[in-house]
Amino acid sequence: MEGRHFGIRKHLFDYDSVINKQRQAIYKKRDDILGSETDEELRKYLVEQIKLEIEENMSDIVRQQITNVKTLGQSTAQFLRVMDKEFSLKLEHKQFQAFEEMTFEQLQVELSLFLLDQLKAKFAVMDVNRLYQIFKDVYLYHLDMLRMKHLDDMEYLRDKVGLM
Amino acid sequence: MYKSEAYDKFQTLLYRLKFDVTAYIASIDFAMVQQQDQAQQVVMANSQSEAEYLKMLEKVSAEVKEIKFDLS
Repeated sequence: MEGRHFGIRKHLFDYDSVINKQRQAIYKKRDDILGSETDEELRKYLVEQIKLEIEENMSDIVRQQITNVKTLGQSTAQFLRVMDKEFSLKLEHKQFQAFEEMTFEQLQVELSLFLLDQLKAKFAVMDVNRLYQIFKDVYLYHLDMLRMKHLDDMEYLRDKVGLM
Repeated sequence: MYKSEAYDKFQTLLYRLKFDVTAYIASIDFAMVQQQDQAQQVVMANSQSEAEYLKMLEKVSAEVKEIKFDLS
């Protein structure tokens, strides 16, 4: 009996360590954003970092979406409609047709470039302080929402493996 | 077992964060946001000048002396 309780306590301790490490990683992200609020140089740096991150993410996301679409056996047109919904592509008819005729491999390159150009043009019209405000709000909102969901998932996982 | 599952879930969180933030920012109409900001600035400036006008009116009103008419 004691051995069993010891085992439960040990697993619970390990579980807490895992949760703690994840919490530290999330809090570091939050602190980086919130800590730069009062420092203009840090704000500029953060905006540049997030811009870079978003630009890098774009091709990863397109690749991941293409993998999903291929798995589902969907066409390029269906893929473009999904992307249009997710990223507000606002493609003109000619552009849509040109993309539709491409293979998925070509699309991955061309669509990533198209989205990058679109993003750079969007960023160019805003000043750094306003961009910082937008990035901060969007980032923190999504981070908090996803963290709440993640905590629920982890609680479910803990109950499922019988740690409590 | 739960450690690897916890790791997978955390990786999913990081991927979702990357995806959601990028998708959300990509879908923002920045030109529209800028227009809204400018409109808000105009409204603020107008309300400020209205407030100044009201203050001036109050000041002028306070300086007005009561006039008594002698009707006899």
